[in-house]
Amino acid sequence: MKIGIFQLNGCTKCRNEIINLIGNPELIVRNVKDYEEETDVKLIWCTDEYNLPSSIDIAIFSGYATSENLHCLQEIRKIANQVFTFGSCATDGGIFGLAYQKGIEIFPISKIISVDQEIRGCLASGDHLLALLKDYNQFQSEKLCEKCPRESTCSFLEEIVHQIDLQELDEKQCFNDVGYTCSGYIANNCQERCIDFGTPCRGCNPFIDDSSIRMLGMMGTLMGQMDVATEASSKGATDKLADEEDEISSAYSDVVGTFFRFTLANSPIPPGKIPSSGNIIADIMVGRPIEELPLITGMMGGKSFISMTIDILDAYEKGIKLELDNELKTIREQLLELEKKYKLACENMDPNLYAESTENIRKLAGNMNLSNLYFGGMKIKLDSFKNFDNFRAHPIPIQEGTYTSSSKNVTFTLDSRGIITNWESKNYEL
Amino acid sequence: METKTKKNVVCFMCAECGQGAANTAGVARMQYDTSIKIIRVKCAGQVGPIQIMDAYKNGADSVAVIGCCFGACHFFNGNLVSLRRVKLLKKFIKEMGYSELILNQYTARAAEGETAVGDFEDILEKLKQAIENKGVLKQ
Repeated sequence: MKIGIFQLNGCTKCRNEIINLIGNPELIVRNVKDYEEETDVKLIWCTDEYNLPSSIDIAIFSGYATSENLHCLQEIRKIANQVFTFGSCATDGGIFGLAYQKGIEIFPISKIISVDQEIRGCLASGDHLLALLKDYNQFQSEKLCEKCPRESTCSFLEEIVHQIDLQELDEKQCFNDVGYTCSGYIANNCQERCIDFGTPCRGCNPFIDDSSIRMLGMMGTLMGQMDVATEASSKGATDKLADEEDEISSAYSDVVGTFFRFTLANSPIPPGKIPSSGNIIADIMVGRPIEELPLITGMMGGKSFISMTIDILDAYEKGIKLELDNELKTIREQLLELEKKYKLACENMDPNLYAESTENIRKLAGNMNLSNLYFGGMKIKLDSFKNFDNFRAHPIPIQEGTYTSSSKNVTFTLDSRGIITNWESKNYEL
Repeated sequence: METKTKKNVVCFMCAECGQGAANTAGVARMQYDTSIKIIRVKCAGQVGPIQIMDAYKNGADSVAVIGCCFGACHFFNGNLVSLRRVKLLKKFIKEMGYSELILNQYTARAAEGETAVGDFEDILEKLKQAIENKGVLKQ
């Protein structure tokens, strides 16, 4: 069986996850150069779109697609028996789909060609892919809320909060019950499980169509106790919804980034009209609140996801003068070292080094999305931490201003609500 | 009037006060614009972002939800719940760079047909403003 792996644009983390399959005894996967035995599964890493093999059994796509990829995708569909999309970007537009708000056309692959299997998730699960390769119908997904230790009461909310102190939250209490928006209601259980590391789910792996719109409706319903502005209609002499700011409209400074983080390009709204800056990373970042930034870069940073995240943490920590614990500094240095190993593993297609480096990253940062990292500390105690109380993360103050990291790689400007209004970064290797 | 009739306005009206007011308006032979397309729903609380986005996707220029007066929902608080969902969706539309005037929620009184007709006029006035500001979803 020949499996072609095609990386489109953007972050390569999902493609790298496929390295895990090389040499996997369950599939007897051979790497690219072995063509001897017909029964073997061969992974063909297709880098040149003009030099396609004559036929492949399964084409796996990762990364986001733009109008430039349309022709190439159609050509691959012709030679491929089956098409899989792997990861949120290929399936729904993913985190890069946030640039859709700035009018950049990003296509979910299923809108261009027919797709046989869609594997969602940021990071997409290699186990899910393996299960599908072994047996087409075998993979059974579970709902995240069923597997979450916290229990939701779905009671009406008094307020929406954007940061919480995890110490004040009961172990069984649902994030949504305290107004800390979590899209777990619409999500499948996944491999990364941000919820285990004090980070609410943003719905990268939904089990339902139009998941973000549904989640928006759900939160709108839960906000039943909050004030909404009404006014008398001049024409019909009855009341109507007013257009002024009220508790509901000011509760979220970024509805797009909160509810539509992974599915904006696949949602039933035309491309946004916010002016684009020309740089896709800046288009994703502008409009997002500061407290969500580490998770966004942890997910879309490609091979530089750790250095990008630490640069952002460093920039803001320096700006608001947060003192860092020495152990935390060591952990961050170790993470940066691990990133070099991870890069090396990806370049050499080395499954052993890949497994070793990702396992160590998970030990320090919780998961491959770096959910445990936050400004000034870590969210949840992991086994590898010695004096966790010294670097426990707390809610950060929001301060207007321009922040630059010590490495000068990232510069961003925040407005008074903590929303990014300007973003500049060096070209990270994605 | 010519420019108005080319538009599609979808009004979700609740079967109690909203549709009742439209019926009363009909009995009294009050006139309203032909661009108004009424969809009768059991309660305004049934209408959520999914239904509203479906309407836009299928060609609506403007969508409105018309329910009972506040405190007078014939079920429990469907109009108030819907009000908050609509407000949140309005915020989403605004964040995408479009005009929030293309989505509205009103109330009507079943015994007074002019409340429904007044609401329709208000919707069209706001839609006109949105078109002037190039804020409608359709290109």
